Amino acid sequence: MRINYNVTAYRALNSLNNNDNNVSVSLQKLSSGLQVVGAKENPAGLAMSKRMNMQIEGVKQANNNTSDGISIAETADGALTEVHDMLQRINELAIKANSATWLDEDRKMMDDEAQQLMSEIERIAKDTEFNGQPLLNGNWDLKGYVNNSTEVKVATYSDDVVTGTYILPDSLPTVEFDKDGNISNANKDSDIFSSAKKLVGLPLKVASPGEGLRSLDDCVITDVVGNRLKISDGKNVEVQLEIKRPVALPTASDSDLVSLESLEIELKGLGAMTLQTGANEHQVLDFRIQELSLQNMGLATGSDKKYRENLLTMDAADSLLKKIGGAIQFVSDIRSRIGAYQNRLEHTVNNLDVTEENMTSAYSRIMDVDMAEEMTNYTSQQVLSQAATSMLAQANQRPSEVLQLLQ
Amino acid sequence: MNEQKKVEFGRRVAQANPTQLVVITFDIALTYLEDAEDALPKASEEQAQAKESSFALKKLRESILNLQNALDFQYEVAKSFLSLYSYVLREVARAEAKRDAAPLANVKLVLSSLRNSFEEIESQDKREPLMENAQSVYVGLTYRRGNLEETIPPDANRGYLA
Repeated sequence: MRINYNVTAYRALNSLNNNDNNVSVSLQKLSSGLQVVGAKENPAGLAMSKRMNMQIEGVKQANNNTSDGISIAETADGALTEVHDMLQRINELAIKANSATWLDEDRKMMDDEAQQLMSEIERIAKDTEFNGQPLLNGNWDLKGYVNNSTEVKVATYSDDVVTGTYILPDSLPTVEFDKDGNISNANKDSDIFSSAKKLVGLPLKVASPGEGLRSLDDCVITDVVGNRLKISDGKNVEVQLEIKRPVALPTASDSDLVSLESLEIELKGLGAMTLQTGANEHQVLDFRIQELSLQNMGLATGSDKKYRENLLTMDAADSLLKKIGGAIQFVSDIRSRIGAYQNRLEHTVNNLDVTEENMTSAYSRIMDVDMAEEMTNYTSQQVLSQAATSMLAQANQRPSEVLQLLQ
Repeated sequence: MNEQKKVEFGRRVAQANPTQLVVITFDIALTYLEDAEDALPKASEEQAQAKESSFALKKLRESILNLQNALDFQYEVAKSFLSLYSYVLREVARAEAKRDAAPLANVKLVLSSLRNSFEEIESQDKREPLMENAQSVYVGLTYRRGNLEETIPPDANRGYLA
């Protein structure tokens, strides 16, 4: 087609071209389903829709993270269910051994089983993992450090402790050990020590802590167990310090050992597993899992086997019986904490789906094999009868991911 | 799981459409599950069996997570899958903690049933195989130096319709 410089024709051609452009832009709009086609058309609009896309993609990824979080909770809970059962069994054995009808030789057999169960619990704490990361060995517990002592460390502390660096008073009795490796100067009633050396009941408030330091107001040393000091304010602040046992335990009982004076205890409040549960910054969930150690459960006062409770005598059985309740409570507490996290994650999954403009109901947690059977039948039927949606829901893998499973 | 099975799985992946990929993942999971069932009874005594069972359970868990991460929650049925996968993961954790294969029986039921359902619908997935430039394999006979491998697909129609 030859265009000459005929102005009228030129104008007509221009408007034809313009129309053409508009038609093709509309066609583009219709076919791609996107309102905004190119930046030149509506730059602000494009910027906004791209950000929303990022939100939606971010939400999809957050969904994956959230379902990962649910999986972590299930894995930890599965392991803890077994630990719970083991503790119940140890309880049974302790009750049995606590009867005067047995000879100590008979108790040895019960103790063998109890010791084996305790070893199993330690193994579970070490081996339970998710994606190569151990879950129950204290990896994901809140961390704390003692800055100016190599003999004292922070064993554990409660959630409600305000984070910061705390300083202990500058005049406290030193910690002394007996020949069994346990702290000996706990109570003033011991006639070996003068009352000036007692630890239990000592207040830990420091009047003027100094720059950047805090004081453990209202806290006292409430108890001494094995080589740990328990500090609490009687409400919900609790800190446990572990004192390293001396290499050579004393035969006489009067040697000055570990000093607690002016110790700086840094309680960072960090260390829990952080899950990104939303598409944006700060939408996180902190998952705290305490170390599943026999010492934390109160069944041992150290990591060596000689520090464990046992069933070798009736007195020992009685002692273990008193402690097992505390151990079961400790495990229950971790499980209910995990359950609470799971609830929050399930709730998050729902919220994320609401953000994706999809009102779906909560996924239901399957608790036992009968429910699993029902759910499996139901879901298998759904797959057959709603093939298309099932494919869209599940068949989204990449071949490379599947091949990785074979490595 | 052995080398031969890995080759077989690899071949299946090369020709799979998305739904077939799901079936393959379930099959991989079930293979590792059987490995774990074999190794767990002796895991408390023998170190080698303990390692074997740990590895198999880890791979089983990875397979399930792979399926779980592929879920698109825009669709209602994804929730049902998530419930089942969560249950499976918990049972796997129990089996590992207890060193006992009993919980795995429950897992096998769940996975086999889902696998079979997906297998039934795989012919309805009209999408192309996901791997590009992979050759069509009718009967697999590959040779390398000193080695002749044959894989025979279970549905050996060799591309013919009858």
